[in-house]
This record gives sequence, structure tokens and C-alpha cells, in this order.
Amino acid sequence: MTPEQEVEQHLAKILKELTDKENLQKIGDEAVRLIKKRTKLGYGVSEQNGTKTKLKPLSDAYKKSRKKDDLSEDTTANKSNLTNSGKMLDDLKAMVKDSGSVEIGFEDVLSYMKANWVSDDGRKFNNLSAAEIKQLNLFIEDLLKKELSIINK
Amino acid sequence: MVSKTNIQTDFFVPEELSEAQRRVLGNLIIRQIIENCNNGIDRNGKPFRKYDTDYVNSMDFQLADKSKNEVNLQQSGDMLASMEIVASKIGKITIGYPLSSSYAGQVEGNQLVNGRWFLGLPKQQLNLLISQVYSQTDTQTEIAKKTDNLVSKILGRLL
Repeated sequence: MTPEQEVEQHLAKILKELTDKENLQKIGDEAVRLIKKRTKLGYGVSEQNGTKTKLKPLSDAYKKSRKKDDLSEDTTANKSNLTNSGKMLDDLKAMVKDSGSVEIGFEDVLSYMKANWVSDDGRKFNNLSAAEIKQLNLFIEDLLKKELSIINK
Repeated sequence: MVSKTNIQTDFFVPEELSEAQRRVLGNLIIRQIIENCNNGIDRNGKPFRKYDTDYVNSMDFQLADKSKNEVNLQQSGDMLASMEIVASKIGKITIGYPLSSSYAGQVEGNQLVNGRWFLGLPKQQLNLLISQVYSQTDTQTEIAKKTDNLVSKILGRLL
């Protein structure tokens, strides 16, 4: 076998291992973790591979009404971070499809509707920024290293 | 105005390293800098200065799941993940952030203002990484080079 063939064989094997259901779920869960964390910190991303920007501030009337709400400890009445009870962001999940792709979305219909509503209202959050994609790259590289060390044994 | 010297660091490496080897080494350097930050270690192998109390008591600190005893320069993690090989020439690799990077101000603030100089490695660590690149077979170097493409393919399942 030529060195080139050896490399291709190695890579094909790694790709197969890394795109099994378990690993794809890990990668999807990491993407969800990044989106939730950034959103709770008060930033949205309007398009995939875009730049994060501060979420639009809350209206004065809504801030006032939030003072009476039983808010999650991850927010305050004045903070714009798409968190009230925290349920909508908690419901964001990564779902591995039979086709071998990963979808990030909501199983709960109410949370799905809420997410659409806040996005339409100018607070898009359910995308990955360029920097988050780089973080995911590093995460995948770590998984890859593990697979490489297994294959090289 | 951000200064290049506060957001980029030159690493002097053996001149016989090929472009492919320098690329592998550059990525190893970036990973080592991130690992050092995760361990709270600066470019000289010394512990980072502790976080200010105001920051530790802030909601952002809590939301980022940070610990006051673990100074790792990561709130969102975006800044460290955006570190890159800025330039690679015979005998020299430059690691850091382009002046146009949206993280340039944050990096300079961390290093110059807060005194947490993270862009760099203790000489011993750099030498270890260089010897790691020397000991790689051509096949391993080729695999390391092609893994970028592989990572993109896997990311494609998600994006």
C-alpha cells in the first residue's frame, strides 16, 4: 500500500467512527451548550457563521411586568437574555437524524413557537457564530485525536 | 488603537521545517496555549492573576459557569477559539489575532491591561512540540494536515 493510500484509509476509518450516532450526539450537544451559554450571556447570532451581537433590550413595559414574574436565577427583570422561567432554552436539543445529520431544535411545540416568535421579533439566537464554529472545530479535533489514538494502537 | 505586539507572538522554529510541518506545529502551539489557559498558566508558565471581585460576583460570571479559583480567560470561549496562525515563514510562526479581529481589543485588554499574557509558551514546552513534529512520520504529518478537511466534513452534518 502506498503512503497516500494509507492516509486515505486512516481518514475513511476515522470519518466512519466520528459520524456514528453517539459521536454526532456529542457534537450536537456541544453546539447546544454553546448556543445556550451565549444566549444567557445576552447575545444573539442572526445568521449561521455570523458574529454575535447584544440581544435587543427589553421594552420598559415588559421589564415592569417581569418584576412580578417568578424569574429563573439566570436572569433579572432588566436583562435581555431570552430567559424567563428558563424553559425555552432548556428545551433546545440536538437530535441525530437517521440520515446522519444533526438538527438543533425543539421537541416541545410551545418552546418552538416561542423561539420563532422571539426570532421574528429581532432576537435571533438559534445559529452558531463563526467563533462558536471554531470552538466546535476544537471539540471535534479532540474527538478525532481520541479516535486516532485508538486506530494507531 | 490596538498594537500588533499585544495581540501576536512570534515563535522562532528550526529553518528546516517544511510549510506542512510549520502548520502542524502552529496548530500544536495554539492547542498548548489553550491548554495552558485551561490550567491557569501564562506564557511564562506562571499562574494568572486572580479575577477581580466585581467580576466574580457578577451574573455573567455565574452564567458562564466559571470558578473564581480557575482563571482560564474563558467566558464564552470565543476569544481563545479564534486564535490562529497569523503568518508562517521559514524559521518563524506568528500566532495570535489579526488586527481586524473582533477579539483584538479583548486580547489586548487581557494581556496589557489585566496583565494576563497568554500568547506564548515556556521554551521547554515549545521545544517539546518541535520534537513532536520531528518525530512524526510523513504519513502522520499528512494525516494531521488533512484532518482540517475531515473536521469540516463532520461539521457539515450539523450546519
